[in-house]
Amino acid sequence: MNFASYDFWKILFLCFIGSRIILAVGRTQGPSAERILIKLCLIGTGLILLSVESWLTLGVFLWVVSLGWLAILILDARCGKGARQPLWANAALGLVVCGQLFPLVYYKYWVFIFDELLGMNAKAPSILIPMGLSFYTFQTIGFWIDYMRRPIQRPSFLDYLNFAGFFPQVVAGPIEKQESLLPQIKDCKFRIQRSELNSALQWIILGFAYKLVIADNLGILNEKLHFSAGNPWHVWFECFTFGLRIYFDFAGYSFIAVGLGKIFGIQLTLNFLSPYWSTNMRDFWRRWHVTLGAWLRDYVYLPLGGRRVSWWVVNILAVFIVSGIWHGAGWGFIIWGVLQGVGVVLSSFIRLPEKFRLAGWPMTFAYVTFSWLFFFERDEETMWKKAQSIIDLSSYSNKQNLQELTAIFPDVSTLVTIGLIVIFAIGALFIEGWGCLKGYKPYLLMRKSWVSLILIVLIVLLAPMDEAQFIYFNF
Amino acid sequence: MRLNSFTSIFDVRFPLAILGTVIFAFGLSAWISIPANPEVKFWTKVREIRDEEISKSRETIPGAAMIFFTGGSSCAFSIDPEIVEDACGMPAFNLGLPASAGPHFLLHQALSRCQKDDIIVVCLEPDFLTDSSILGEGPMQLSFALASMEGVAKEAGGGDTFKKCVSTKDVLNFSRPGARFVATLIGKTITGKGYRYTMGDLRYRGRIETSISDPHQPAGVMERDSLSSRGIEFLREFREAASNRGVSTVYSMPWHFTLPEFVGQNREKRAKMLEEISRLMPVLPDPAFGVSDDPANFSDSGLHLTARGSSLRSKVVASSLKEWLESKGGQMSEKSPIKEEVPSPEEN
Repeated sequence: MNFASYDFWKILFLCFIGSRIILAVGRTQGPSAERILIKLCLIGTGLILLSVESWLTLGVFLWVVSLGWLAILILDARCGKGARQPLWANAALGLVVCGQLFPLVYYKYWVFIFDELLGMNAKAPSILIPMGLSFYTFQTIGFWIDYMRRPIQRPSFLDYLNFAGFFPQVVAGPIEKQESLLPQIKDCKFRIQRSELNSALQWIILGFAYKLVIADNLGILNEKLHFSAGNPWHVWFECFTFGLRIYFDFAGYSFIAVGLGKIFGIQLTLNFLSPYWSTNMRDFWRRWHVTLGAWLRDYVYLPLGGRRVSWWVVNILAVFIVSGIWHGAGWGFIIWGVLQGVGVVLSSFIRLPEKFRLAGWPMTFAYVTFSWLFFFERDEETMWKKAQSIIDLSSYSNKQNLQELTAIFPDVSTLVTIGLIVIFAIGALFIEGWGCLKGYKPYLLMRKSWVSLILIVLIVLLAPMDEAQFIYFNF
Repeated sequence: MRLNSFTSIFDVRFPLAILGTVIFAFGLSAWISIPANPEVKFWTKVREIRDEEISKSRETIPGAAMIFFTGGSSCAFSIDPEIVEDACGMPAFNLGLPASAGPHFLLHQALSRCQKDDIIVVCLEPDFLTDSSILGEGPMQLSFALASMEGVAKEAGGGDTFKKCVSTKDVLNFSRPGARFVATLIGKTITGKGYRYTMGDLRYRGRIETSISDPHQPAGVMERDSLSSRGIEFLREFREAASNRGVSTVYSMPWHFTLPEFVGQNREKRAKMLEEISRLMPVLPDPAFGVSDDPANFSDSGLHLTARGSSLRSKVVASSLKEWLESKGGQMSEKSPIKEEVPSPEEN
């Protein structure tokens, strides 16, 4: 399900052609047969694409979504959805949620819990986490919680399966809610929507440009760089390039997902809204990974009491610790989550007047950039050393540290190449910022037709030879 | 109705513009990364001159066996065919190309120029044989470019020698320059620098010699001393492909600059590796085991030899090759043409 691989597009094309043939035959059997065939073809495409990744990916997906469906059946089986549930139903739902979360805990947190926390020297269950596990687990749990909260007519199993496994977003989001995706899935014809085609292609091209031209090149070049943990300029540069890389990678994926959805007439939620132009941390989390933020708000923050309770600061910190844990197992992710929470709490207390609002931008950008250190650095000793060198103000006065900035680059060619890519990245960010300032729709300037054509030339010229996974596939 | 038809025409305009741009972009990319690429231009010219000389040599002495040296640039910069011809009395050619063309193509392009009874001296860099990760799967960007310029793009992965195909995906990938190439091109255009080597560096029958002398990277102890399983398979496959064509193969270890304190250890490691290679094909003995600690032998890298280094190595190779040929049973006396009968490039 890697949009950046040739195989994905080849298999998708074959599945789509196969589906059109099946539907052409099925049309002769009447409208109801055609409707079922559309849904079967759509989920069939999703399942084939998952199975191409690995049978484990497919198996775990089926396990998690089947338990989600079981939760819906349990909710239906008791007396009325809005009513108080009998004990057996609560117990069964508890078991279901444990079952749904089990693969996530097993593949993602097993070693951290048993090895790091309990010191039991546990063996890692698998090197690779099944693709998209965190995303569809959250989406399906959200689905049945909403079903429990707001009674609606029970969807058909096929519609539910298509909701959980809609191929453009199943492996890395956006994490969609029942009310936004399910009605669209029910009406999906699984054919190209000509009215949306141009817009869809513009999103896809922008996504590829972000992913292939900027994120992948930064990823490849980053492996060649030599960072000194004791040099604050080195650490800042490493955080800065990672910050660019993760944004352009994940936003790139999300744009392609949005474009693919549009091709088939499905409007997915935009996961990014130019987050690096945020002027405070609250603003940042309204623009970064929007659907995860919404999920945590609806299913963690608000049930804890939200802002209506006196301990709202604790609620915010809890939400961001969950966010950190969701991203991965390790103290670095937890610290990253705490830093995000502290940032949001501080920006709730410190409100800059409107005319000074822009002054918050450099501080927010620097804070976010610094916090990436705890996100990407997996070696704890190095992480603390790097954090210390950033915090220690005396290390900035050491002129030698600044002079050794070029020591990051092994040769002039790498320096020039990374310079070129960073210029493109900053250029793209400025165009985004200009759009924000003018109040345009998100990424409108980058989606102009003539810009898309320039981006195509840049993609073909500058994309690396080797296919790279999206960073968020690991989460 | 008119509005509908206008809308439908408008709808396809952007997808068509995308298609046109994609075709244009791939065309531009292919032009930048293949015919306009200074490295490809240089090595293509070198190949054309080598081919011309081989062809003339074949015409001059029909049916005569020839010696071809192949490998990465360590071969191109080290083996002097003139010294080999003097010693062995057979026409010899250096077919070394940059190692980035990949080992499959390096050996295939040499074998594709061979006739029955010719000899290929494999001077492949040892890392290709010990490290599976750099052995590669077949086609590389440079091999694709060089093969395309020769009109045999599908042989970029080793052709019928290694039964490696060039897929559509390879074609699309290798026709693109990538960020590093574009950045380097921009840098070189701004500074007015061209490719590192010029045609003036081409010597007798394919050897390259440069006046550039860069400080060498300090060379430590070799990491690996054993052939990888893929390296073994690779050599075996090549030996069989050559044998099917009636071509003999023999291995010669390239020279590598090593700091004096590591000479002993590196020689031990290379001796072990050569012993393993000898189980697959004959190995030309070299008292230095491919290890030299004399900086005067090396030019712009720890694998590129100066005229002095090249002369020293070529004499060692020529002498051991002569012995090996004699041990093979007197082919030299039957097939060896007189060197003077072959016109030199200067005479052309």
